[in-house]
Order: sequence, then structure tokens, then C-alpha cells
Amino acid sequence: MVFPRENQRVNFSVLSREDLEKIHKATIDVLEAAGLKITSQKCLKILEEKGCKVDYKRQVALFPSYLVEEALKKTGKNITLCARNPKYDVILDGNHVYITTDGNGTQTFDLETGERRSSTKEDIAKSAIISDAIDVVDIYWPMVSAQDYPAHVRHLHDLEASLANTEKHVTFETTMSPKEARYQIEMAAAILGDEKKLRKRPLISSLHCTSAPLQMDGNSMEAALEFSKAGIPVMFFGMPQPGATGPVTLAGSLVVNNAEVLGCLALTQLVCPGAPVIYGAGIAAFDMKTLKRAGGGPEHGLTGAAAAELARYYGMPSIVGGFVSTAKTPGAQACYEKFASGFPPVFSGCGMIAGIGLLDDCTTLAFEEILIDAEIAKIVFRIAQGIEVNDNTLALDIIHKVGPGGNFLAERHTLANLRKEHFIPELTDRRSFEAWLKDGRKDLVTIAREKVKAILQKHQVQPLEKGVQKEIKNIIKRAEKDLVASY
Amino acid sequence: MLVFPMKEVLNKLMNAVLNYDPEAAAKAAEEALQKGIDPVEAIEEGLAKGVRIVGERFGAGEAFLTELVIAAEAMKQAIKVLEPAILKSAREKKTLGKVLIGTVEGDIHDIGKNIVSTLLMVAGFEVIDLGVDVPTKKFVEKVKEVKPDIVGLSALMTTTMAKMVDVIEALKREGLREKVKVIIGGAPTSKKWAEEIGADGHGGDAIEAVEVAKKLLKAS
Repeated sequence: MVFPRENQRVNFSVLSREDLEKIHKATIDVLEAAGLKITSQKCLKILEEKGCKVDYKRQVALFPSYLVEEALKKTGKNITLCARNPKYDVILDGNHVYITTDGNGTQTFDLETGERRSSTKEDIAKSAIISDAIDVVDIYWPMVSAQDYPAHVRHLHDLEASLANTEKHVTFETTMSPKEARYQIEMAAAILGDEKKLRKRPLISSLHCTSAPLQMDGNSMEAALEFSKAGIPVMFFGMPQPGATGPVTLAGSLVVNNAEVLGCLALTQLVCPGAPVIYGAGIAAFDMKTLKRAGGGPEHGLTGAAAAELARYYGMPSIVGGFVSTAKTPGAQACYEKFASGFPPVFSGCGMIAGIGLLDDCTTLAFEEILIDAEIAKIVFRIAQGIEVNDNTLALDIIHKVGPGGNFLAERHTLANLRKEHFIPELTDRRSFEAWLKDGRKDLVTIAREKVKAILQKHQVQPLEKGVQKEIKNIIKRAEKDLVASY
Repeated sequence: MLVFPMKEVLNKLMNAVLNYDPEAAAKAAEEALQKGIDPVEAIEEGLAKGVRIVGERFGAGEAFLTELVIAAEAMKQAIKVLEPAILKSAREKKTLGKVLIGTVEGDIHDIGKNIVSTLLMVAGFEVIDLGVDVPTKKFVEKVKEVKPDIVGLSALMTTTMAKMVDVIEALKREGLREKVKVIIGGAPTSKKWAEEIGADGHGGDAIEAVEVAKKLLKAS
């Protein structure tokens, strides 16, 4: 649900201008002195040619500050993530907040049995249909991966199921080689006709996780460059865990993340000047007792907001994690953690927030959770919208008309402004105790499950043309033989 | 030949309600009179049909209370136009029953009682609303005058809910208690309280109040 910043009255900054400058300076220092390890000869060579100092043995490049400054000037602003149905196009102009589903889980709570099991291609199709149906989701990221398909073509099946079952933009974070990237580009191009058209209307975008501290997988980086060459927007998404793979201090981990993202940005701008790049971060504390990533912790919310502010400082669009939880099942912990990690980036005006629908720190899909998190996101948006004060909202005429002792139910003003002023719940149970009792004491998850089933029964996604479906299948068939060798 | 224009006007009445438009409803009512449509038919086949649809939407959680209230208001405005003709009409208006409703003496809380009135009307009851701060004497007089099937008593405060007992006792003294059903409601009241004071039913909320009213009249 696109949330326009011009409607946002409640906002905050977790970093001051001075803080931003300090983090930037520290980052430049890290890139110059510690550098980034990139496990690709090809990438290191390009960097060396353009002015980086490269230690090939350690696979580390040291970035002179001008490379970063130039890249920030060159990179594409106002990125549009196009959708199969143009009404769902997403314009990342810094003035809108968008919600994307969380992605890459490996487990699913089965809708029928309630048991947690390995995720399937069918789960992707179902979650894509649900995401297509609800207005909160703007962008679909395959929420789980098709564990029922062999690893070397799994992510192509993920993409096929996604493109076929939503008319919204599809983003993914799975590409492990430039070869695989080529197949993904071909699949998306098949929908529009050719790659030239895809460049104009990128129906897909690709997220690439760096590897904290200060490393980038060479294959993933080469894949990102392949996407950039085809005009596909890419995101660099750092995930330092404060205390383990980043300094325990949040500011220190923001520096590590910033260095990783800006380093990768610099490389893309050297290869493809002007290529669209989105600034990413998912900095969640490392829990020192369970050794788990605390995706639902308050630190994640804070760093998400901070990363969005850094991106804005650089004039880049942003994607951060939010509405995340480490709870194993839908319930109390999931709700408060998702709220805590979700509202700060909204208040900071982040471009894309990823997290809705998954549990257990972005690993487990619960279909019901998609709707629950959508409800939480709507509540956060309502708070961010704040209180508008003008002649219409002061309602002086109406107050005079109704006077002491009347009520406002029969006023046109009430009907005309209700939806703008009030959050209208879709799941939240506000009935009386008696009504709840009579309805079988249904809890939130049960209500959500009923809605999920109704959506799956009713919602129609425009299918891909028969010819396109066939072409995509053929692309995967070719990839099956071609990609198996790299495994 | 008159069937089609009649149908058109009835649709206009219904649509004015569905569009939450009291002015359009009043205008359509005037048109109905001009075209010689029976006013009772105009209500039943036009206005009430619309209100029932909004009522069903409300019951299903699809419409808002404000929509229901404005829909009912549209019906009221149109009925005002039709009223003089209704008295002359040969047809009898069908209702589920007559409800006399009011907030008890000393209590000026209005809104809960109004919502119940609206919902009763939408459900097909004829509602006579005595307003707020209604003295016990007035309830008794009106029961004698309009002979309702149900008396609805509302109170929002623990200090005024005792007045409900007064009304019930007064009805008994006047020999009227057996002729009417008494339903009570309001935040401090409960089913237990209703039993204690000898009321026939309790509405925990406006929707339940309508259900209870329907049930009581069906049973009798």
C-alpha cells in the first residue's frame, strides 16, 4: 500500500545531519584502509583498472574516496519498479513508502495440517496470489524457495511461480551466478517480448546480500553486474550482526553495512554508469545466548530507520528489513516484534520495507501472518499519517449544527471523512465479548486463516499468455542442463 | 402500461437510500406521489428494500454505522413526504411490531438508544422514540396511548439504571406489564440485572437488542 510522504505528519530521524556525516566519513575511511573482499578476479581487475589498490592474494580492494563520490553522483535516481500490470508500478522517489513481502524462507506452516514442513513451489504460488489480492503489498518477493525442485534450478522455479501468480513487481534475492542471472532476465523478458522492452519496464529486481564484515561473494557480484547491464535494478543489502559480524555498537555496524553497500555501488557504476541501485540494510543484533539473529529486536527497527536516512542523505532509494520477528508461530511475540521493527523505518520514510509474512527470523512462511502483518503495517501507516488540521477536519460547521447532546452519525461529514481519518480493521476483533463467544471464541490466527482461504478461492490473477508460459518453461529446461555443471 | 414507470420510481427510492442521499430520497418520494404510486408500496418496495440491503451489509461487517444511520435518515425524510398520503392509503403498513423506546429519567445519554432505534427500524419495526430523560409517568402514558409490543429502556449510568425498576413497577401497577415485553440495555446493565428486575430481555449491544426483540415477539 503506497504510503505517500506528503501525507506523513508523524516522522522522526534517528540520525542527525552531523551523525550522518560522521558515519559517511568513517565509511570512506574503512573503504580506503580496510577495503572490501570480493571473491571475483574479474571484479577485482575492473576495480584495479579504475584506481583501487588490489591485493589479489587476499582478494581485497581498497577504494579511493573519489570512486564512491562519483558513483553516488552517477547512480540512477527515481527508480521505477515496473509491474506486469502497470497500475502496480512502484516509483522509488524518496517520497513514498512501499511494502514488500519477506522472502527466501525454507519452511511453511501448511494451511491444512498446520504442521511446519519444507516449503514448495505451490507455497510460492499461493503466497503470490494472496499478495496480489491485498493492497498492503506493493512488491512480491518469493516468500519461500521451491525446496521440491533441484537446487541448481530452484530459483528459476521460484521466479516462474512468482511471475505467474501476481501482477505486481517481483523482486528476489537468490541469484548465485551471472549465468543464472541471464536465465532470470530471459524469463522476465519473455513476458514483455524482448530484453529491450524489459530495460524500459523492469518487471523484476534483484537483491544481493553482502557478507559481513566487508565481503562480497564474487558470483553474486558478477550476477548483480549482469542485471545492471540489462537495466534491472539491483539492491545491495548488508546484514552485519552487531556483536558478531559487525561491531556491537549500532553506529559501528551501520559503518560496516555502509562500506559494503557503497563499495558494491561503486563497482556497478564503473561497469554500468547510471545503473539503478537501491541501498539495503538488515542490521539485527546477534543474540549472545541463543546465537540467533534478533530480527524482531528494537535494534533492527532503529538501524532500519538509520539506513533509510543514510540512503536519503545519499539520494538513493532504500530497502530495509522491518515487520520481522523471531517468534516461531503467529502470536503475541510476533505482533510486538513486528511492530517494533516495522514502525521506525516507516517513520523515517524508507522506500521499501521487507518482512511481512515470515516468522522465525525470515525463515518460515505462515499464510495467516501475511494478513496479520498487513494489518500491523496499516496501523503504522495510520499513525504516521498523524492528525490533519484544517477547516474540513476542524468541522466547526458540523459541531455547531449538531450542538450539545446530538451525535455525528447522520452527518455527511462523517461518511465523507471516515475512511481518511480512521484505520478500518480487516482482522482486528472489536466485537463484544458475547459476540466473540457466540462465534466460537475465534482467535486472530483463525480469523486470518479463514480470510486466506477465501482469498485463495476467490482472487483471480491475470494468467500469463499461453505462449509466454511455454517459453518460460523452455528457458528453465535449457537452464536445467546448463546450470547443473556449475554445481 | 404504468408498471415500468412505477418500477423506475421504486428503484429511485431504493437507490437514494443505497447512495446515502436523504435529499434524493425526499425528491423521489414526491415523484412517487405525483405518479400515483401507493405510499405504502413506495416504502415497502422502495425505501425499506434499500434500508434492508444496507442493514444486511452492516450485519455482515461490510457497511459502517454512519452509512446505516444516513440510509435510515433518507428513509425518514422520504416518509415525511409520504405521510399525508399514507393516512389515506387503503393498504396497511407491514411491521414486525411496535417498539416504544427511551432513556430513563435522570439520564441524558442518547447515542446507544438512537443506534438501537435505527437498527430496529431497519429490521422492520415501527419505532416510537421518546428521547432522553424520560419520566416514568411518560412511559406509562405512552404505553396506554400507542399500545406498543415492546418497551425499550436505556441507561448508561449505574445511578440511573435503578429507574428501570421504577418503570417496570409502574407498568405492573397500571396493569400494563402483561401487555408488553420489556427490553433493557446500556453499558452498566447485564442479563443478570434484567432477570433481577423482571425485564423480558437484555441487549448486550445494538445488534443483540434487535435479535432479542425479534425473538420475544416470535415467542409470544
